[in-house]
Amino acid sequence: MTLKEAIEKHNGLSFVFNELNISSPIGRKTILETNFSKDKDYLSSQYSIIESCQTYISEEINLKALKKVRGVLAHINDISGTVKQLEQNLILDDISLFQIKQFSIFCYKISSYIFDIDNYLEDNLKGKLNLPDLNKVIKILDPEGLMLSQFYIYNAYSKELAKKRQEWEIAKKQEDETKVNNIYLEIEDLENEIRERLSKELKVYFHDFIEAIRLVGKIDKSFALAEYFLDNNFTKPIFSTTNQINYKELSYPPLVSKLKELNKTYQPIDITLTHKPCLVTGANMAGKTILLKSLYLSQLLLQFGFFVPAKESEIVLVEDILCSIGDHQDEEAGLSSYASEILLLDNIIKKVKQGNQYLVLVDELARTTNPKEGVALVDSFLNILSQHNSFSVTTTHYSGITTQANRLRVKGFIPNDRQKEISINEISNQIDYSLIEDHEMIIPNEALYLADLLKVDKEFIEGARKLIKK
Amino acid sequence: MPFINDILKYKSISFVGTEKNTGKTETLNYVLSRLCSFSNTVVGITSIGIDGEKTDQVTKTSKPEIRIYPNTIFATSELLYPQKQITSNILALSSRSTALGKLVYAQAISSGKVVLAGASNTVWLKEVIGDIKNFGADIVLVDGALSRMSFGSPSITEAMILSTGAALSFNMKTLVRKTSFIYRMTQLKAIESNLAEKLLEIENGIYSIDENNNIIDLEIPSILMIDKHKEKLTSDITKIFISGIITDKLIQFLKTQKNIKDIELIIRDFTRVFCTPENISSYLEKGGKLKVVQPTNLIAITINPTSPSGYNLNSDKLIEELRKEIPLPIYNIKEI
Repeated sequence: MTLKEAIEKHNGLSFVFNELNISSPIGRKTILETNFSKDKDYLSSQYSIIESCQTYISEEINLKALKKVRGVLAHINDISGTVKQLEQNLILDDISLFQIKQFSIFCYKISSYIFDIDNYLEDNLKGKLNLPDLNKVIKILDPEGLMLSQFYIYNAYSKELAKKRQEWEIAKKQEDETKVNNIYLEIEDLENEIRERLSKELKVYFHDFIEAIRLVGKIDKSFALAEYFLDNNFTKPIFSTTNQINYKELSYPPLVSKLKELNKTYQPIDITLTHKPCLVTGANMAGKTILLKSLYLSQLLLQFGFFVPAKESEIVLVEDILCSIGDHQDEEAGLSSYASEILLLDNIIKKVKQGNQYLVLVDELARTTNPKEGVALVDSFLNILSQHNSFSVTTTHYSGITTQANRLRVKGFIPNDRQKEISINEISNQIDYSLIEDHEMIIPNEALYLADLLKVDKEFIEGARKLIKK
Repeated sequence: MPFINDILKYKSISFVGTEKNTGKTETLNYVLSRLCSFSNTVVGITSIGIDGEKTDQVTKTSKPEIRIYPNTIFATSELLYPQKQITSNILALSSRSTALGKLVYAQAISSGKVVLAGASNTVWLKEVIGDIKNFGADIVLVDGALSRMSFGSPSITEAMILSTGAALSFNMKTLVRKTSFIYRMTQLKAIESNLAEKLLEIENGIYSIDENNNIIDLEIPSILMIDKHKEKLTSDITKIFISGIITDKLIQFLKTQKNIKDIELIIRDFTRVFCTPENISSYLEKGGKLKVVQPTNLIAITINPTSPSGYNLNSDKLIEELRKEIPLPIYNIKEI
């Protein structure tokens, strides 16, 4: 799975991607082509490069260098297509030659701006951000030694060409149209010979070009990530030694940003996951779905080699993230919400049973069916999960679940004067989103209170309240 | 050397013709050749969309190419760049693409012929003119078009030169009437600049504008479908912005409205009018208003008395008749 594919399925990831300050199309492509990885060494090196880039840009002088690098990146063209022409022994035209020259000069500039980046990288990663030396390429395309990112078939390439061009100018002055045209044809032939020669000379550097394109993308990517993670308090994930997933102050960036706009603060949460299934309960609007989305997003980020939106984290790599979040009703396939959900769960169970380690996230399991069968389904699902090596979080509204699980409850409404008028916008201020261990598993009855806050028809709610009291 | 001194007052000038073969390219070539004698002036040139083809794609008649001189900075497309007959230094490549590839900015080293292409919309055209100036041009010429297919507005430049001639009509009366109509359209008043900035970005659709300058999409897909959506142009809508062309059908419809005196029709620029002069005149006489987002500063008219089929009009007489209607310098491009 590439990041590009994952973005289509996950809003949170696409939010993070869109927030990144990527300077070049090559950088953008590089990030989108990042693969979801289970390779610990690879991911360690990715984290380390981002960390080094953060140290680098934390120094004022280097921040200026980065600004210059970005100025260059903003104008750098992806020369992959041109390089492919070289590979196929095609003769490059002036525009392609210009692109190669410009690209090479830009690479030279980038290298000179971040010449000491190696000092910031860990020993085993030294040289990983060093662009190949393309000075010989620049020399080929800059016979007059001007170091300008401009190009034409210079007179310096051929005395004969220079001579013909002079003759051409004379013919133009004489206004001899036929002669002008004929000489121009000869000039074109000479220019083509030079283009052919240059293309051959440049082909030698084919692998350097490929490597340079890759590294330009990598440099753009690394600094874009480093800066965003620094500004938004994402931290480097630490591999767990106890095979437990552990987050301190985990947050969900899209919501953090939305609340910030509303001048509200996000309440991050702490959570630990073991192979024992985790069952989360809590009132409506208590952030259970956001909890699942946060876990999903973080797992994606860290397996793409990114930092995570938490103060601290201990992580475990998984085969994949399996989830059932949201309304599944699939009208096109003629399936009800329940049928869609149960088929999704079936798929999750089949995968988990194969023995690989997954992260399983299920929101409000079997909520669309009757409570009696619903409870039984939750119990049975947790029972199967407890027999396999996956991490899982299941949320529910149902009381009476008996299977062994780590039981957590969102604290929920802060006790206060319930007579007080609260506007809909203030409801979130009345909720404590932190998770507490809850062995009793008595589901908080806050649905009616919430309905009051939402100013739902009094007769409707009071009627329900009376029935409960009976 | 007529109108060259006038031209030097401006930083950007577009050239448009009332019809193909009315002498626009000759006018452009004349201006280019005169400007090159001012050694301190670096000239820039680009076009709107594709133009300057060797053969006119419609009439298949031969068409002079654009001839530029050393130091001239030109913008064309990746595909058309190799069609030049000139030694030129590539300066940059745009990241955006036209239908014919990316835009290439280059500077002429020798004199010679080029085939031009350019930005396909107004906002981009503005950027391209800016880019050419940044490369060192003191004045940028734009090979423009009066075509319903063109999304770029030639009026974006500081000044404009219009070419007309026998190719538009070889009946002198008709030619004068049509040309003076176009002239009158170039004199349409502009809307206020705040609103203009917002409307400049819009390329599709029909909108109403309320007192607070809010732009509301009327969701009428095309002016050609106005019949089916007449109910959306209710009497409480007075300011209407049409991003594309306006046709006789629309004007007819607006003319029959009771509140015609309150109606203000806004179009992008004068090139968007595809109506008969009579129809527009009666719309305006009835009190309807017609304004443009992008006003035009027409500074001169050139005429080509010869039609592509070889028919010749009396040049002096034509200039005389046009001068009765148009208070601008008018020149025969073949005689200057």
